[in-house]
Amino acid sequence: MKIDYRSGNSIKTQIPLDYKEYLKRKEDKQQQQQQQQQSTQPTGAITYKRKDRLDEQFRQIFMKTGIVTQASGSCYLEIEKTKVLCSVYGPRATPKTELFETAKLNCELKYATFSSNKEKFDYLENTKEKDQSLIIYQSIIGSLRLDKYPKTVVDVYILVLNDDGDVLVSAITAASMALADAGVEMYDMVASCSAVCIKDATLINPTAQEETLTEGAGKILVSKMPSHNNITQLIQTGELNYNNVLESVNLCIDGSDKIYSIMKQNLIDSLLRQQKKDGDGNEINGITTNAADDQMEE
Amino acid sequence: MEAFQKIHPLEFYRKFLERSVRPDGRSLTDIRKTTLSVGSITTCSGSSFVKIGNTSVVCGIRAEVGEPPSINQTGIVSNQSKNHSYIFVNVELGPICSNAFSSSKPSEKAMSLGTQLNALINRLDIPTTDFYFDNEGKARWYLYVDIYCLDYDGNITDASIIAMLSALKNVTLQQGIIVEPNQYFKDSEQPTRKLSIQNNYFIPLSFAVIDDYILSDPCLEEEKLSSGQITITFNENQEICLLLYTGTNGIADDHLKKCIQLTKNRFDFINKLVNENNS
Amino acid sequence: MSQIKRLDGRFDNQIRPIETEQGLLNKADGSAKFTQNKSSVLAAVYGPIEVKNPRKEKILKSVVEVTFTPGLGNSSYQDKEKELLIRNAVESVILTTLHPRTQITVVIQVYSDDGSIISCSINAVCLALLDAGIEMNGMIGSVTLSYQSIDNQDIFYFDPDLLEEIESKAVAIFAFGNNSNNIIMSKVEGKLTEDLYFLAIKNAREACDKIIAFMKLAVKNRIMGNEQQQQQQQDQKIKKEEQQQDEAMK
Repeated sequence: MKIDYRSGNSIKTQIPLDYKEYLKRKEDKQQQQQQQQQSTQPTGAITYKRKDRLDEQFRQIFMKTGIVTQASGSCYLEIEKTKVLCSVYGPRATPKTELFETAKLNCELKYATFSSNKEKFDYLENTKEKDQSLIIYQSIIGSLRLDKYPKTVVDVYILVLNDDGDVLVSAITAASMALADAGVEMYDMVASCSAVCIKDATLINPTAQEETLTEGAGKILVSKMPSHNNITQLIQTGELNYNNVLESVNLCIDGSDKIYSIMKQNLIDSLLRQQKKDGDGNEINGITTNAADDQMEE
Repeated sequence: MEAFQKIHPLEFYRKFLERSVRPDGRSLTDIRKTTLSVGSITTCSGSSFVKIGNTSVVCGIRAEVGEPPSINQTGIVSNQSKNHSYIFVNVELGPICSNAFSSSKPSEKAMSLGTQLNALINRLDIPTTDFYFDNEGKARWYLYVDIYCLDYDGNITDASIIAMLSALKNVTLQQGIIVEPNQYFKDSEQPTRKLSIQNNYFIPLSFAVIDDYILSDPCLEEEKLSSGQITITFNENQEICLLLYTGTNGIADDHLKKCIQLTKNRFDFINKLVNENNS
Repeated sequence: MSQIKRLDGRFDNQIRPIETEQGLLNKADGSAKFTQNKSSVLAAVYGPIEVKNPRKEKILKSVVEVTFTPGLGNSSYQDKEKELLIRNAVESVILTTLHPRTQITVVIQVYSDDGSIISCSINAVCLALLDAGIEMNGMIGSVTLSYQSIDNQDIFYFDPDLLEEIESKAVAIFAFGNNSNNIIMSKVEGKLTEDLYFLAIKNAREACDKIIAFMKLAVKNRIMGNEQQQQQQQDQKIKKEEQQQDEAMK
């Protein structure tokens, strides 16, 4: 039984667009048509210049673990306006015995209905959410030592509160942090970075506006475990030439290394906070946290 | 002591309650620290974030445009159009806030809370003209209020009501342009306006009943152990807007009187909290 | 307080005539129909039975499950709230600790809804529970009041119909047991001052006592037989015999 809460409203409603934007789009379309009439070669690509930061510059990142008290581990992550919350439950025992040797990882991403002012999100899971859930799943599953927890389930839930671009990167990073916070054994945390290619420019950490600037723009997403120097996932969509791909993958790898250092610092900070709370001399459980300490010493 | 708490949670609580104190150090009438911030979400028309102790909810309001049903229709419609509502409240208690909830099916708690909030909203008496999209009111704004719980540690009702009210006060609506029927556009050059609910407040307070003790602002553990729950919501004229008592044991009138008094005491605090954030 | 006539001719503190019927369903362990003019509800009780969903099983007591089916359309999320209210009210009179690890299922089917539907349902469930022979620590009765103020005069309409509920300033639902003065369930929606609320409690308590008294009478009549009924039956018998005689004569 799935209930749509809005069945109380029988009136069809829509999100209105901005009038200025509408006029501008109309003009652009006319211009394009004129250009197409003049020359047979399409000149689709739009030049775009970032105003407030460099092309390879990241927006401000804020993250905090241990936000959700009911969860085993959680992380709240903000990349300026993009806001994501992730909580992890488990590993918990499951009555289903189909998966005998390893733990099962469930990954669920949900957009809040008010997270976007262009797209409508329903209360039921739509294909976009399903798709992105799978991407996140594939990014982090390689880093986890699920064989340590036979016959159990680990649940990862992600809620997107505000979508201003780069949701996937935020979600993957938050999920990995939350898993570390929950004390699930892992080889390394997964850091992620994405880029959009518009004409010749490669824009790291794009905003929602930059993501939707051109249809079919080349997009690159890299997730990696920096201390192993392993890439767990590499996604390329849209039209890109070979050199562009190489260049943007390299940029993304550098970007994720930077994110990784922030993640590590945050985790250590949260540990120290916890230690203070527990009182000095108390033993801290959780293997990942020790691993993070070891890495610091290295 | 932890073992005692796990095995006999109710006995554990009773030992504390006998001394008029709770395991987290609060007295029976103490309310956890309540904070509120407004307008943190940029993609929607109005938003708020409320934290009561560990319980945190975020509320976002999405404004959409639609044509109201024509009033000329006969009979029953006229009756409905009087109560035609432009605001729809929904509470989401997803698995993100507690593992007690599943993602596939909305929980009973979420559904009943949603119903109560929808009924509360109608008591704000916002004039219909506030929802006009254009000047004549051919099309109207419809507000979808979505409350997402981020951390569930009891007393979700209070948090939701405060969040809902302060988000509604935060809503800014724009004048619209209708180019063709069914083609609606916002006019960003016109000044935005707010809903006329500036002087209205809801002052909610919930209680849990354990044995004969009444605990204000219960946390999750207390809610689980309780035999009854009370929720009282006042408006600015000290009238009861919502009063709900459900439980497996009856409650005496005197207890209810005490709860009503405690809720009244909270009036100034909530008033200040909401005002400070919306000025 | 002067008495005020309402649209349907009732006084303000008059409830609609009650009709009840017990044991109409064969398959259910207990069933009852509770009718007040156009508000009519059928309740069926099954149990104590095995718990269907093992996650809900309680070790120390039985689980009470209530399903509320509206007369028209599918059950919406508003009906979930009604289920919750009815379940909490009914659970407080059932001796759930007598049957641990079991489930008592209550199904409510609305025939027609003309106001005060939650109160009707609670009363119907109480009768159905009695019919099913489930152990209870007392009976429960429920009444709905709607508050109106006309010409600065505060008026409580007892047992309002749908129109009165819509046009009221506040609606208050109460449930009381017959073995204590405590409130079992209370819900107020609307705008009501504190003094009026406690006045409403007082009024509702009296009304509930009357409803419970009626239910007692109904159950007694069903078990012991009604003198009038017996009389009627005898009359019918005599009539039949007369008819048969008439036919024989022809």
